[in-house]
Amino acid sequence: MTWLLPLAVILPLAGAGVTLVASRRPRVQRVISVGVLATQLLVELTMLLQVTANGTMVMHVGGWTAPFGITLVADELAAFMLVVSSIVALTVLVYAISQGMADESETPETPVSIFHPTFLILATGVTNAFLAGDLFNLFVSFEILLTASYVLLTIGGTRERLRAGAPYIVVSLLSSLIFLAAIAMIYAATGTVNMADLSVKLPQVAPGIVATLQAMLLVAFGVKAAVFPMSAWLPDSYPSAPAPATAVFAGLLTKVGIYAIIRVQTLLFPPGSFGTLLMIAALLTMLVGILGAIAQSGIKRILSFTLVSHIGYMLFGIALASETGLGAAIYYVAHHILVQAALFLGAGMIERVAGTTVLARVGGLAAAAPVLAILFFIPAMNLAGVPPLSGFLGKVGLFEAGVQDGRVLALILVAGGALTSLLTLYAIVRVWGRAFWRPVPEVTEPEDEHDALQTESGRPLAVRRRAQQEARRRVASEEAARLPIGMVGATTAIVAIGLLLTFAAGPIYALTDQAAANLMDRSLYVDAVLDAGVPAPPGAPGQGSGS
Amino acid sequence: MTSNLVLALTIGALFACGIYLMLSRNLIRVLLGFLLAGHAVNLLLLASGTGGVPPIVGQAKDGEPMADPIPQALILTSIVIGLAVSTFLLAMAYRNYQVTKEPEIPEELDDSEYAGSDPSGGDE
Amino acid sequence: MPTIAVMAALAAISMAGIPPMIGFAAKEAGYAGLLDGGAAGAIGTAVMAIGSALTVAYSARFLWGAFGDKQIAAPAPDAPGQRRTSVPATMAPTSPNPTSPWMTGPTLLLVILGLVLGVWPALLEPLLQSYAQTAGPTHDDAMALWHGFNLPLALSVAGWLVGAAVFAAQRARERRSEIARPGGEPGAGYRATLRGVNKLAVGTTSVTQRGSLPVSVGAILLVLVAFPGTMLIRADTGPADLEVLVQPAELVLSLVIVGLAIATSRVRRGLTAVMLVGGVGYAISVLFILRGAPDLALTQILVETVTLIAALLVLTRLPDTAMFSSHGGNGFRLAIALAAGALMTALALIIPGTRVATQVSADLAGPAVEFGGGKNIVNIILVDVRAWDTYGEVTVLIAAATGVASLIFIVRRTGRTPRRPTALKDPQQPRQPSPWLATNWVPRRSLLLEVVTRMIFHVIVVFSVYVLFVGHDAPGGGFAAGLIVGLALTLRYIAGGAFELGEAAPVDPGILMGIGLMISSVTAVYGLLAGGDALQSTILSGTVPLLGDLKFVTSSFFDIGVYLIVIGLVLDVLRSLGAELDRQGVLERAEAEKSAASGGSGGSGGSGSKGSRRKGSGGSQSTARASRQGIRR
Repeated sequence: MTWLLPLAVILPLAGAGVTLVASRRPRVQRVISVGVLATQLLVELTMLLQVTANGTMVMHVGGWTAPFGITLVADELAAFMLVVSSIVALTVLVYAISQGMADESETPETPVSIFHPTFLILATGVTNAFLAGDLFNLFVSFEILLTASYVLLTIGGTRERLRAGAPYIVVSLLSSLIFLAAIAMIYAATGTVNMADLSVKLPQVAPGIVATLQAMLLVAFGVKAAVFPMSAWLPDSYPSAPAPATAVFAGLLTKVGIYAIIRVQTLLFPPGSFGTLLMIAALLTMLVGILGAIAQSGIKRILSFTLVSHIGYMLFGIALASETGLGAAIYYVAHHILVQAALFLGAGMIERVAGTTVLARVGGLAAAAPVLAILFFIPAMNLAGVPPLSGFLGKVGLFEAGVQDGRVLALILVAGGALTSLLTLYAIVRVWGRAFWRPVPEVTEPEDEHDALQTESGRPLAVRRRAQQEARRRVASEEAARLPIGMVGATTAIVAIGLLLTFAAGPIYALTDQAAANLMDRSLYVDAVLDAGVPAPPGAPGQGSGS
Repeated sequence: MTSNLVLALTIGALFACGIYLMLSRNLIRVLLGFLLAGHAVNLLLLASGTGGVPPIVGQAKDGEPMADPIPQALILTSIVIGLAVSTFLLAMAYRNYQVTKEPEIPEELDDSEYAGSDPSGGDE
Repeated sequence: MPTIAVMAALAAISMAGIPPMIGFAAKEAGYAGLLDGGAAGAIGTAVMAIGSALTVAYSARFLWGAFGDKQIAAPAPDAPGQRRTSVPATMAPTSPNPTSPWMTGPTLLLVILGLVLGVWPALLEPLLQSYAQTAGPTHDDAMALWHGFNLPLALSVAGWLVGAAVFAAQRARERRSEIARPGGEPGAGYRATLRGVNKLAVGTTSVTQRGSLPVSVGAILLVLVAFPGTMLIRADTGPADLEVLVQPAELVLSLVIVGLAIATSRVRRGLTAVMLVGGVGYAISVLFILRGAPDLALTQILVETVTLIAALLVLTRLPDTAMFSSHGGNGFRLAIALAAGALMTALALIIPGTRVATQVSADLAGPAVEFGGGKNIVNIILVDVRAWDTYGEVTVLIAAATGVASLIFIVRRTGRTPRRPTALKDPQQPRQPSPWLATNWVPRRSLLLEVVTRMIFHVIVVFSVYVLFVGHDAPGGGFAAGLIVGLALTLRYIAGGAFELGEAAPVDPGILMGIGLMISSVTAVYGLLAGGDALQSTILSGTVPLLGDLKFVTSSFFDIGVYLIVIGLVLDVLRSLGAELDRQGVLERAEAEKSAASGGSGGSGGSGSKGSRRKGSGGSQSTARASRQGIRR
């Protein structure tokens, strides 16, 4: 069944090719992209079932055995991540199609024809990143998803998108350079870039050098995962992207960085190394992030900061380097992907109904769009860690692991985590209260979240009044309040699956615990890839597939 | 494996110039800095493998070591990816100029300007 | 509203832990568990007791607030500057709106459930026990309404009494003061805490989130220098086996490279800087040759040329000041840049000497010939051993190309370059048609360029096919071949303008790239279908009568896909940054002329190319350089 692995990558890529060729026919494009992503999800579900039943799956691409060729590896962690990310990709695609179709009648501003190929290329990059068994292939996967994200972020080429896109792009370029430099040095020190082989060869290198290499990798991945102090780029860029793009970035891109950190920490480097440093970084990320959220005045910016803040939780679990800690962290990753994506999609719908996401301007949405209220409320409470939802369960798991660890720093982090959860509740309830329950305010705040940050620009009073009346008219008008069924449906799906994490928490937690156990025992991975731990001589084609 | 002093110094100098340019708000300068820094990292990849005769079977005379082909393949991939990203950055720089009539990315004001925090908001 | 009052009362009673609601049973069980728990349990009991007392207090207050009869006193005027926290006197108790059964129904259900379970908590027992037992042994009958006179009961009763006392004290204070400040002391404390949190949030964020790109980048670089740098220093390893240089030519090249790089950071004009960077690239390609990497040198030269051309196409349309950077703080930037460079040098010196194992490519030569079917190992690696990387890399090309097109084309992103001008009256057709080119739409022409283009265009394309297939055994391959075709197309574009380009390559670059991607994907899948691994290659050999022994490796299909994709990329770049910008420039100029003709001020700014770049119309004896200016017009 190892053909499932490359198939999961080839599907969206071939789909991108077809949608490029069919660029004059939007309907064909839509069918292809939804079909491709749905098929990919099925493939990945099959993969997950296979892996949980039979162990890690490995494919040596081109028939060249490791460490000469590139290997694709699917263990429980990878398969689980793949399934969750595919779900998000598919639902966000449906949302985007529905929003795009509705927008087409209004302004022909968004170019439809490149959205589908680019989105599918993004999906390819994410999929390959989770499956990569080779460090340079991981780099190429990052480049694929980064380049696609640059295009999606600046789609339409408007001033706001460019302004938001530039910091993101420059920071990503820098992280790519750092990653590539790290790979160069790793090859210099060991002569290989295959991760399983590195697991065998790195312990032979002097520990100080290994620590240096590890530090470089952690910096490169930390930028991607938005770990403090390298997190400033995220709230500066994510809010201005179109809502589906933000949802998929928030859901997937930072988690790929976290995944990479998990992978290198458990597979390549001594267990528990840099634990203290990671814990301090986690604490700072948690607190600085949530304080940032409280200081914001726009919904999307608040959500961007909570995104950064909760990365701290996952990093905490990783830093503990224990089975319970890792298992809780993995569960939390899945939970967070679904919840943040749902919230950003909800923010997109708020923008559609109220015309803005500046907190001071929105109001009365519970009456105007009750379905939206429900769809926003559930993930919001989930994010805040209200029991019995998955956010609460994940946090309890992390706290349990922290207490088990027993170190003072771990206990401080548990306290910090609880405080962050409380503050998240505060931040999110503010949004909930103002956007949904307060009547539409009589204010003359500016329209755009970015403009809200500038000092009052002195627009003439008449213009402001007109804008305010317009806002009220929008909320009142039925037209705006009628959200396209696709957008609502997609968000409902994500929220529902997020709830599934709660109701099926038992089996899912068992899965993540199993994944964590396998991660802790790296010989399982290495043996699967290297066929009993010894690098085989360059094999004849056909020799090296399967585990 | 041997390290080459001249190459190492070149890498450092190139990377420094590239980073210096990347620390600018002007997109063109950032692009040029990225190109230079990218060259530096490519050279770093080169330094991670042994040098020698071109790795083509049949070219090496007796005793001459062949250059390590794997870093070369990695560098080639990196060069092509660099090309792709550079063209995109160019398009962005042009478009940015087209819409803002300025070559630079405007600065965001800090969030504290408009925190607008109303403590009683939490009561709702 | 009697129903609601009763429901609210019951709910509040449950919260306060008063029987017979379920809250009481739960709290009793909680106290019992905590009292068994040693020192931590004692702390927990104390906290719980205090919490319960306060809960009773606010539950009572809630009930009084919602349902009690109150005298509304005459309004006290707000003290100037004070926050409006007093109850507005105009709010007389109004007759409440009828509530819908949808609201009362669920509430009633929950309250009844609480009452039932409060009286018969044993109903819940089995459910809870099975879970609780996972943590340890449990008591039987943990949840019951009446356990007897024991400590938990005493604690609960104490809680009620204290809570009631607090409520009464608070009411008494409020009756005494004139302004009903909601909540009194605790309320003020709560609000003060919130204000403190907000202030802290704003303060922290204004420090950490500066909103400035160089600051974000600088922060990352600081971490890069600090973290791995410290580790490297602590590793305490010196360069093991240091050689100064291999050949003297390397020293010259390095000096050239460093000199050009430093110059780039100092110049002001964008064009000069781009040329300098191009020079760095070319010098590096010579360095590649010296270090035994001919494929790299070839690709680097081609890539550098394409990048230069693209950069020139864009920069000639931006004003001279495009590169001008007037920001201070240069010292700090310099320091970080130097530190980063020092880190790289240190890494390059120290790390190569630490290698202990043999590299994986040591034994790659034999299998490359045997299974890969070629002698150029680097190429075999690219299209066979590590073909999956190449597959990903062309994906990046495609994503970037579509991105470029998306940014430049405002309305439609796809489509081929037009072969004839469709809507424009400009450009004027030159007086004499060119016998050398396919189209005829560039007024300022260079005879030399046209003749040369005509002669070598097709040769170059044929040569590129050669390079494509020879790559297996000698430097070459899909990338180089595709770039060569791209450069040929560039030549035609420069010689003949946008429509010449359309004539030369009348295909939609997107379709070309899509087809290339599908070819590569089919090759990948074919390996799977044939029962092997993805992208597996087979060597087909056979004897053809006239040509002799032929050998064909199926990984060449993959290379062909790459070839098409690279051509598509360059075509897309030319189309967007060249032809489309031309067209936009022409449109802008036409509009500017129109508004000038209608008496308005002379042009709204036009394209960025006006200003110092405009030259007067030249004669026909122009060199290639003038011809390039011609495309800007």
